[in-house]
Amino acid sequence: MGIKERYNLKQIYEKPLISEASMKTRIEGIHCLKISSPLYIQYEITKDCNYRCVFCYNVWKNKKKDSIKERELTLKQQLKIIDKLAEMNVFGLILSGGEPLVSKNLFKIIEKASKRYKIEVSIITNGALLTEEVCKKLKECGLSDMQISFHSFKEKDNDDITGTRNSFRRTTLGIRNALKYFSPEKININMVPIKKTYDDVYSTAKFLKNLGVINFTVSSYVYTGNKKLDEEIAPNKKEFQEIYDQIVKVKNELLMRTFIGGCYPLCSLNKRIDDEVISLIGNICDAGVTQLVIGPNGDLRPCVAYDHILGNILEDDPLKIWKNSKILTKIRRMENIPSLCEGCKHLIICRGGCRASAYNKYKKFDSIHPLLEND
Amino acid sequence: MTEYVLFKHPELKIRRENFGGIIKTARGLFLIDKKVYLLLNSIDNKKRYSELAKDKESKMIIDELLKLKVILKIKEKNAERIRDSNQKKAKSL
Repeated sequence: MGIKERYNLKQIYEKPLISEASMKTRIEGIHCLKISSPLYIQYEITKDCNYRCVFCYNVWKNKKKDSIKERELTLKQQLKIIDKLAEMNVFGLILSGGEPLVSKNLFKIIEKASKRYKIEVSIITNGALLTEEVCKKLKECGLSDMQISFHSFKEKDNDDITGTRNSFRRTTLGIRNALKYFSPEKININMVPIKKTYDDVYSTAKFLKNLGVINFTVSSYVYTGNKKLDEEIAPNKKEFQEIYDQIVKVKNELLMRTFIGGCYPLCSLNKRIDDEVISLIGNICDAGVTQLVIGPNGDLRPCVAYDHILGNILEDDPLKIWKNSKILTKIRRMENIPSLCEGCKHLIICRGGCRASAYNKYKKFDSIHPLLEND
Repeated sequence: MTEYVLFKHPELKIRRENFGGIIKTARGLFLIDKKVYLLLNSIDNKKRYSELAKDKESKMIIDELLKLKVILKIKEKNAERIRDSNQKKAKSL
């Protein structure tokens, strides 16, 4: 009987009982989930942002704004995209940017997706524009949940990281407002620890807990966007280990729901990979397997960190791209896995860490993850 | 014997695939085979348990779906009572 196929972390790359739901990868014994279209879409609805975060991973931010292809879409075009997503039967839509709340079209996009098509919609925001009125409107439009970025309990550090004065105060107020209109289960606060703040993870979680937050996550550093700063601000392996140790404390002492997102190599942690380590992994790479990303101009990419354009959702058939793209096939077949990782029993979960980060740092998709650089 | 009426969980999402389908429930995502997909899809609005669980295999599937809260059940008598009360409310509006 085929309903025990609980789809979890490992099962994307495990051979399921329903054999037609999987394809072989290049690596023996590892299979990849094979479905007709993505389950989730992240749509970067705008390039504009009111913060200037030092670690921003947006792959398109250094490109020229004036080329026609790079221009953002009209409301009509954006709503057309929502129609296409409904045709593709996607379950969930994550709206990001830039900063999605900067877009005047946001509410209409959420409303159409959630009310007309019953697609579960969430946003990733820096929280600066989350006034009470905005939160109320988001709720009325049918927004399901949100992730708010917040990077340090120290006001100055937070403002330095976002490159924006008063961002600490604005985001803190935004979190408070969000908690008035959404249940705490529906709000996740995400921190991107950098060299300057890696030992502030626990204290930042504690600060947020006092605001009423129950979901707190950290993202591992993504080596895309402004690569010049990576050397200066990306945590190294030792610092990453300390981030992990604090997350364990956040879980056990503060009793918050927590994990580390962003696909890091498990062997970068100096410890045995046990159930606790696995339980604190936020996501494994599902680029091109269950998820696709739509850029501000409608371009399709495998994930937010990949700069490889697969086509354009308004000009091409996204289902054909999903089925036939050579790039997606390579990713699904695990052709970008470092040879070092072959034979590792954890490969099915970690895939050697974020492949886009590895590519951006070393210009080779099958290179090691930057966190393993000095090993 | 008490007859039950079955209906899909209001937040259930179902998607068709070549191998059957994918369902999204509060407990997570599940892959389902063709038999399960067809059974689930046959519950349009509501359906009697006895109509759906015709054979041993169907009964097993339905019971598993009930356990996972993919579908919900209500006693037929209670369903009728709710329907009648809703109709009255609608007329009075």
